[in-house]
Amino acid sequence: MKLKTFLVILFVSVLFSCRKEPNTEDLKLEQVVATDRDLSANFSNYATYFISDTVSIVASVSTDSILTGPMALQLVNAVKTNMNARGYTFKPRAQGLPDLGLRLTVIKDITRTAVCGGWWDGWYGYYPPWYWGCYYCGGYYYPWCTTYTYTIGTSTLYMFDVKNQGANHNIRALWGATMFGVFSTSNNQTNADLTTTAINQAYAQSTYLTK
Amino acid sequence: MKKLIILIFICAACVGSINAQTAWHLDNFATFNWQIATPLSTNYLKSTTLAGGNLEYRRFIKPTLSVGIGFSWNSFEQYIAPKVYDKPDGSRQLYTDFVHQVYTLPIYLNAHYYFKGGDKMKPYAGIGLGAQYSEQSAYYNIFVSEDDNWGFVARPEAGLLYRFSNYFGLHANVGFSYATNKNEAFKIDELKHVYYNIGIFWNGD
Repeated sequence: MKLKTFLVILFVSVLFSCRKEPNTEDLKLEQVVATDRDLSANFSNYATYFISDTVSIVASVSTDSILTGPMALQLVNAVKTNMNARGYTFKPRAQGLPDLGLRLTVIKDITRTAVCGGWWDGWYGYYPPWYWGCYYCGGYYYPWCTTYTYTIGTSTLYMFDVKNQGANHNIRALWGATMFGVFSTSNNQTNADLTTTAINQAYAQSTYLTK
Repeated sequence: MKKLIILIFICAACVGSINAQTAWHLDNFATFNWQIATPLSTNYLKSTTLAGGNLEYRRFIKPTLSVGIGFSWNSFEQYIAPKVYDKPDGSRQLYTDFVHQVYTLPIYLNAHYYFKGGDKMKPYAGIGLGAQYSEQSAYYNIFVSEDDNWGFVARPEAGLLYRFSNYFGLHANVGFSYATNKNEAFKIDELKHVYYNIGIFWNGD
């Protein structure tokens, strides 16, 4: 065996053995949870809140706009449980305006361009440009936005300052949680459970949310 | 890959065994190694990797001195358990787990000095200087953030040759790799690791 032959064999073998692909299965067990707050907000200045029993949904079926039933209640109740645990009181719509309004949206199985971002800039090096803060916020203004196309399951939960809305009804977002990751394509209960866990995590990492 | 290495080993051993043992006479020398590496001085990952290799060619310009070219590759990775990352001003929090990965591919010129040793073994010391290509990736859920870059690399090392014949033998060495690859986003200022090579060498005329 000539040295050149030996080297050629080795070189070819090297080409087919270089980079190892990591096992990322464990990463899909929980959603990524990102929370953001208005640093000027004093959350102890608010006492009551309202959240609808239905969840806004954006999906590939255009007729789907709200999620109702047990799964919606599971998600809304997760929010209520956490809000109540932090000392806030639920105020039904019939009793007038609450101090805080919460809006929960689920975006599932859809390819769409969101208009939010800036959030990741300078963030410990993790800078994917796809933070969507105010997409489908029902007209509320939220300051972090850019463009991204995605095909995954995403839930957003935002808290708005209803108490201090101005005369022109500009409502300030005080806190936001974006929860995202791969969704099951066949089991919506799995997706509801993933989102419930993510909602609980959003509150767990937002210890400043207290009455 | 493993089968190929075994096949090369057997073929080379057979060829080598028909040659009579003589004094060391090294001329055109190639070595192919499995490389184990342990990263140093980076918080990005710390796990030792078994996924690596090394290929070198050395030309002897004196009986005790060789110059040549080589390259290595390593694929480092580490699972980072879920935790909350806080922005220093308290405005943002992020909860996730990660798989951090760093792939390195140094390509270098080398020079080695060989000590006297014995009839079977020959120790040496040397250095490789060149460039290192590297990719740094952070996997989370089904997403990945990654970057790639080049840096200068220096690789001092010491090793040992054990010959079965003048044409074939075993090779082992240990070395330190320092590279200037930087990744501001991942807070990587340099890439350093200790590596251990275990393999075979082939010496041709």
